[in-house]
Amino acid sequence: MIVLGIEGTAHTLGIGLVDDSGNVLANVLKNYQPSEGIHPREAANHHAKHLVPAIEEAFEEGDVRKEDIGLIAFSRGPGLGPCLRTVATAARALSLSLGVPLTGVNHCVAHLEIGRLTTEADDPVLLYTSGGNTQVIAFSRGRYRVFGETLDIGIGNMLDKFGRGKGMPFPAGPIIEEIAADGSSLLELPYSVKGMDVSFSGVLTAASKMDAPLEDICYSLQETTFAMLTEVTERALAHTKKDEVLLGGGVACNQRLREMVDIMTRERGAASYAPLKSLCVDNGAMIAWNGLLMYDAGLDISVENSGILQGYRTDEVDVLWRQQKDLF
Amino acid sequence: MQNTTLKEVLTKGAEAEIIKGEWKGRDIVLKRRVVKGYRHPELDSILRKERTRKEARLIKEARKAGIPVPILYDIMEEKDSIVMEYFPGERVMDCIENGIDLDLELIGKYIGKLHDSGITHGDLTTSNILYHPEDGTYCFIDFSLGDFDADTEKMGVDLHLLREAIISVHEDPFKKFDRVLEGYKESFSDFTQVLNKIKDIESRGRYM
Repeated sequence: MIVLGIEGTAHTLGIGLVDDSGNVLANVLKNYQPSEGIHPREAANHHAKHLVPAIEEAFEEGDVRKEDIGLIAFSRGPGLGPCLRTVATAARALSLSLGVPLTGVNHCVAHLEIGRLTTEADDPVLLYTSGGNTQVIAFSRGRYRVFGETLDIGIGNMLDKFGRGKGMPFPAGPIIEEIAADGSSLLELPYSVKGMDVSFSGVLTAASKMDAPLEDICYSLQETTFAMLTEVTERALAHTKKDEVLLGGGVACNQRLREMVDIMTRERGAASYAPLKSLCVDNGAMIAWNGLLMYDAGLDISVENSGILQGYRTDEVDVLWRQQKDLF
Repeated sequence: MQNTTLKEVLTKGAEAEIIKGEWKGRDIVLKRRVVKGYRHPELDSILRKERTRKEARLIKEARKAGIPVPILYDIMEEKDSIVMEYFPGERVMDCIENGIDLDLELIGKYIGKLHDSGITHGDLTTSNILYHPEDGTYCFIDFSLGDFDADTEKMGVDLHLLREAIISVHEDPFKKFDRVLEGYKESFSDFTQVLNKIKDIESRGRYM
């Protein structure tokens, strides 16, 4: 069976085709390029405009015909309402017109499952870092539980806001990474770790107001906030007694963050994994794959009950497709 | 601290290692915050010093407030270490598991006293409270996530963590946690808002 997955929680529209052996046949990404921050309605319009061409492109890329599709999966949440509604509508229409079942996928959980599929990670702690989301997630007692998260804004959102103030285009993360490579002196920024949680609003304000060479600010911003993320990930590892870290989300493409997590895991005899970049950022293949896992566990939904879940929490998902390991 | 002999690493946590040793014939534990290679060396050094100092202060203040915590022997700032009395007890978690009768009301009383003095523990699980069966004494350990400005949220998290730790693994857990709360209410007059906060924290579904 081939699954068609549609991702559309934020600025990325993704169409993925995955077969039931876990082969990614196609993974088409279309990014809405906002002039400043993401405007939800504009992003939704972007998705609506590119949906059909992106599906056609995916069919071509995977050499798949629409008759081959046996299941439709869509990103049900969490995300921006207009974007979620747009892809949900498309998913329902496809499900009805092709006469195939429908599954609604939790976006955060999908990041973890695509990592389990495409890397050697089996039972990892996921450090999920993107524009809107910053969470440390691990499997415990039948659910993916959030062990730590941001108490205010997502790490990517923080980088974008800082970048916007300095005249950088969206997304600012990759530009900050480039500029930071020329920085060398560590400036003092708030280091805010509370237990297994982090917060970024203080560091954003401090960095934005700082009067120093931009390369040093970018460098210090990365050094400080990525250390915070690595620290809470290590705390989650120690707490859950797991020995694998998986990276996911757009910010996980950052080489310095990957390096820090890699050093941390090596120092404690654990391992770290990251999917290919195209599967690390928001994408349709992860939605397709997780949709298939859910379908196999009997978690498909009817069109009538396929409403979007804007505030869909990671730990709301009954992870029936995994073996229930006791406690930790 | 001079003449200290270190013998055995007891545990390795996320940021520190706990080593058992001896000093002038006494059993001690040394808690050493280890260098984190992923962190910028300057930042790493600042954090280790700050946290070591803060934890030592928390232990000192908690002791003053009448909470059984290890006696603090020394702070070795240059080595990011604190040296404390070794408490020869078992984890409360294991005691409950093995059916050892504990004074859960008294544990609750201590937590109430702690909160009353403005301190929160931050990682208050049944692994961080020790019990010594021979003389019936308790000891609260690991204040590395503790704080001085106890607010309702932090106090709620303390009790929530303890509740989670008890109900997830133990027999007849709700009754056990209720006994803790009985003691807590006795020693901390502002208990009502904290108890309400626990429900709020639970509904958020995290702090596992």
